[in-house]
Amino acid sequence: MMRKSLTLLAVLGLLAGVALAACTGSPQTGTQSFAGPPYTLRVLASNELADLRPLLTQAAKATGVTVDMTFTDSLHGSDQVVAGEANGHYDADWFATNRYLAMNPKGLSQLDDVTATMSSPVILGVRASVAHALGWDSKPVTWQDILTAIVAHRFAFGMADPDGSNSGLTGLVSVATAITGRGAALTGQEITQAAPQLAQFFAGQSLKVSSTEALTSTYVRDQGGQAQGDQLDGLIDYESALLELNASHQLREPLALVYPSDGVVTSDYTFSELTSAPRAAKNAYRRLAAYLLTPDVQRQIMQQTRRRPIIPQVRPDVGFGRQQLFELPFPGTAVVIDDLESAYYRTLRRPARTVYVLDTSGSMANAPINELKSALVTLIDGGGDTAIEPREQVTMVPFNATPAAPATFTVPASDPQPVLDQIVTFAGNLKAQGRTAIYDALVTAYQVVESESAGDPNRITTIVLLTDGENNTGDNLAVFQKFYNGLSPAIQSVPVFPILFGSANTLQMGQLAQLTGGTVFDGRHLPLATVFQLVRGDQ
Amino acid sequence: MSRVRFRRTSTSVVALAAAVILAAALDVSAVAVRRVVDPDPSTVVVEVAGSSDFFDDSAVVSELQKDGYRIDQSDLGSYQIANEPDPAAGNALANADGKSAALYIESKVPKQGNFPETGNPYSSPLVIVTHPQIVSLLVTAGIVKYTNGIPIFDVATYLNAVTSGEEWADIKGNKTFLSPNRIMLTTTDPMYSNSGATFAAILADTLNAGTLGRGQPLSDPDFQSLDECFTIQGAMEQHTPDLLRKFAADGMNAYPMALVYESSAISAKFGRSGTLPADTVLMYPNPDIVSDTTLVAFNALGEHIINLLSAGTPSSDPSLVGLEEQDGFRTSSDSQTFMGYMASRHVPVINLDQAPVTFVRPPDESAYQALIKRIG
Repeated sequence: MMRKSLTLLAVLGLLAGVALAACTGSPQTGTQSFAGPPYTLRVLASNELADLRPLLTQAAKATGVTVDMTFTDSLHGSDQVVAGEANGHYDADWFATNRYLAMNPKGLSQLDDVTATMSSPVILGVRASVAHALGWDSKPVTWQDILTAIVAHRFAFGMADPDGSNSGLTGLVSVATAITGRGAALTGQEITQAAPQLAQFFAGQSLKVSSTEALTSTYVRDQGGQAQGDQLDGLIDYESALLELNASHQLREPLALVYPSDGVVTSDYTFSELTSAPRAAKNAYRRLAAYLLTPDVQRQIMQQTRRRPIIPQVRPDVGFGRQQLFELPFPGTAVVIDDLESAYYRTLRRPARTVYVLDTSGSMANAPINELKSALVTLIDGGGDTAIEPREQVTMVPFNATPAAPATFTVPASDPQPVLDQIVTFAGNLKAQGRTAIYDALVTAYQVVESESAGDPNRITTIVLLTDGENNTGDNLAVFQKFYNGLSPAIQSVPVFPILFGSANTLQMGQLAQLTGGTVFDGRHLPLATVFQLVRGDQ
Repeated sequence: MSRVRFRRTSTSVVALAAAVILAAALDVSAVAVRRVVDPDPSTVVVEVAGSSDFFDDSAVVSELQKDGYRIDQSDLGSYQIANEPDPAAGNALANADGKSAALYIESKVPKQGNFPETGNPYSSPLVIVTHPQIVSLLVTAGIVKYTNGIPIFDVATYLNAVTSGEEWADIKGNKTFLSPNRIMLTTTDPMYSNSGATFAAILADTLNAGTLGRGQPLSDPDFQSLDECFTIQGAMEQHTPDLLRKFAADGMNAYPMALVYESSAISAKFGRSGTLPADTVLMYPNPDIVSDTTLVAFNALGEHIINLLSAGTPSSDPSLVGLEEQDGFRTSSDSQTFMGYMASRHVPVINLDQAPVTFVRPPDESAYQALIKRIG
């Protein structure tokens, strides 16, 4: 009898201990302890969230949750999630916004819990001297005011591509919504009505790049000077990116932050659990999400990433300015977004001009020239984000010991196929023989740009050079440099993007890119078609 | 209703296993174990498809436990429940996002005797959460008038403002709210969410002068006016709790006013999470619709739970009914209890007995579905 009672007491004590442990081990909202079993959460995240790494290292210590991030841009990432492609590979996503996902009827059903974590509006950054000259540092500025300055040639800006970056698409939506001036979400018919004004606005876009990250680095490189053929006075970008630039000590002139008083669009970086994620992942997500929303962590996010806190208890600090931000309603359907993007590429944005300088010397015979031809065909006819654009002017300058006569093709805004076919035919007729005179060909390319720009100056222009070998005849780099230095600043600002393959001279190509403001692409380890796509993304 | 959340139980598996082992090892009677260990093996687990914040309230959990029940909720939204092979399988109840969703779920379950059947233990009218500055502007614009100290939002006047494209900047004497936008009430998307869909019904009733329920579709011009109230918003939230959260977090310049359930506004202001700004004002649209929380019972257990929750039934649990009212729901018990709770917290709410607004019945199912489809 006695023994049974003692045993009973002991076991009850044990159970009480177990029950107690179970209670404190489970996550509760409102407690300050986020500790829990270690877990590695697989997250598909927007590229700019690389700036969260230090904070997430700290979070891992506090919560046991290690975040394994795979980076992409918010637009393509959203497509992946909607298509169900993220399921099984990721536990959560973390894009700049869930807006695009939400536009698809299946979109939000792919997500369980969602948590907005921090925010950043897309605004304008303007070189301080230009802001001052325009009076933009002392009074409210509207998108309409910015349009007026553009039309007067007093302001030109850079922006990332709307089809590859949320900052670009948000910028496009903001401008279009505000300029139509209807105080409501943009609809399809307003895009058509506002097209002339929007075309005037985007005539002021002198720099285009594929990603938000490239926008920052290209601005640093080109600041205050000219880029791709015109002045560059500022950027349409996230407030956080502009604040970061100002703090980076890389700017000759700080950027004045202009918050248009006729409305902005803010992204709220919604950290979202995938419905398909396993139970343990969801538990880990919840702990981490709760941790991210605590006031101390919100303050750290603000300091480290320069994005605004999301909880009312933490106010944005003084660096964020005191302006009132009014949020513009965002388009309700994917159709409106698609129409707007389509209008941007077809009619609103300054059309492109690309000169392809193509090595057809003897070393390219057989496999290399065939690879080049099929890469060109993919480029021309492949469709997708990096295909040749409506209204683009494409000039081919094949070369060996001497440059061939340039062949120029202008792609119409609609029904481009006949002209694209002509380019394909031209590419198909390329033959490889002779020596390699790279710099002579580049001289021809710049002369083409000069003569084409004289009659048609409004294009964003780049030169793409493909070569598999060393320059072994004609002008050398030094001679070319002299020629280049004699060009007008506007033509000098046209960059050369060398694509290397074979035994091309990496050093010289690097110098060439640096001189002209381009970037070298190494085509030796990737299929040429892929490299072309990368180049198109960065042109 | 509430956002999907994963199945949450109030006990841990470890403690349960230990209790079973203990009971077996010591051959101790169940009574002795129950005194010290959770869970109580005699507690009946009630599986509920779908989820509700109310069942997560710890006071509600305790009260139900005293009655001998533990609710186990699942992740699914109403339409997910309805699309399960057998929604009733393993469930006593389903928590539906409104009457329409409840009927849809019911239609997917084979009839067995009286089941499935629906119950409406508690309800909530729609309210508009807003900021004091906005209320003043709306009074100037003639959209809002005070009755018995409560701001009443006139839907017909609002419709005129929308169709004439009126902007905040147009309101006489507005020097402080410099929004570039049109006067617009933010709602959820009627295609996905009951609160937005209910507002569409309110608009339709206003335009049709109460004839919507008789199956009369709106004329094209009237429909355009209704549709404009949604198209001006552009992208809308798909779940009411998300809208309320954003209203609280993003401020007046993003959300001058938002349409939500009275119960969620009250819990957000005074509940455990207390997330609304202290100066949030509740306005009532006129006309308004009372949205009934609809539970679908699949069996006798489910029916019993509904009865426990409902005021005035033989098995009603007055403590549960009291908790419903404290959480901001209206029940069919003496309305003074609800009014008393709200008065003690200084929340001005309308007294249904005084009828300061017209409550219209939700339209019949087919008219409702036809309207939503037309908007989509």
